[in-house]
Amino acid sequence: MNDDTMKAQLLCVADSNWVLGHWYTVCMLNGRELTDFTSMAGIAEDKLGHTRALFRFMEEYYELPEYQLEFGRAVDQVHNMELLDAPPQGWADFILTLYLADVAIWQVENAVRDTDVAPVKNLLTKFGEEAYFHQLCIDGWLKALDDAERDDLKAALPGRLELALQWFDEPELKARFSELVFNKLAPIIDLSDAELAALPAGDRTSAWDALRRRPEGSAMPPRLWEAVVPTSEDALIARRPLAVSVDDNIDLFVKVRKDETEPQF
Amino acid sequence: MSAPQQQPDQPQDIECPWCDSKNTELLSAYGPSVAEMQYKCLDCGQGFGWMKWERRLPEA
Ligand SMILES: [Zn+2]
Repeated sequence: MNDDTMKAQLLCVADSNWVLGHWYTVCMLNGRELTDFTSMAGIAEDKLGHTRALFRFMEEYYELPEYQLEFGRAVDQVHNMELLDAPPQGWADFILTLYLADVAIWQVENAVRDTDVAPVKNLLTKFGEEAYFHQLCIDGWLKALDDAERDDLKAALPGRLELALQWFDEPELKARFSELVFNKLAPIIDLSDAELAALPAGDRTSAWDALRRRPEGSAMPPRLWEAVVPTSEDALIARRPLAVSVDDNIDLFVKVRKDETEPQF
Repeated sequence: MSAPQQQPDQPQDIECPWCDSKNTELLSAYGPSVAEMQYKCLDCGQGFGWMKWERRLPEA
């Protein structure tokens, strides 16, 4: 795997986890019981933590300026999966999309673990150990759907699945992903053979940006990007300390001025 | 109508760190930290946290 390929793949998983983490934070208030809230808060922390860990690693490994990946890119340079572009249409669509995104991201992370770059292998393995946990929670949410929600999930499946499948460049990963998804969902939503056969295959219909795993020139919607990297005045003020400058002329030692009369050792 | 109880497929054979019994049950998917699931031992009655760094990975 050449370095640019790995760099692009790492960005695809880092940026997808970035958006996925925000799906949890934004939707957390739609939880239904205490366990939902603790789980969503925990998973959000993990997913955003995976992104932070990869950003810091990549900035060092690829000799990028610090905070370049978080604050130095335009939205059309972000490698987030298109599956997460459209907001959830309801609880079932939310759970379905969390499930598809988690399983898809792990397929790619697991494949990239094959690298000889030890920190990447170790980071991605640790992400997997946490994703194992996340997928347990999602399993619980899938099993707890009521009849109407199972119908909603069935209705949402073709559209979400199409985008999830398109994400895969690697035929073997795509095939394995389909297998895992069908094994998981078929018993829950009672898919007939005819319905199974009618599901999309994930063929790409527009010019494709292979590095970003998205349609050429596409980007997440502005409202979602604003949730990921807020540009409001308050947000800019809050992250101002990142843009340190000697022009700020901050004296860090004003209150602990050295007493010149003290003996020197 | 109350919300349905969530029963995720919990990891099997979680051993109690106090008495080594595998007769344990899941109390909560998240414990006091995101790193833990909360379990209870049905033999000795102690609660304990099962850490996520038990080297289990999702299916791939
Ligand atoms: Zn015990």
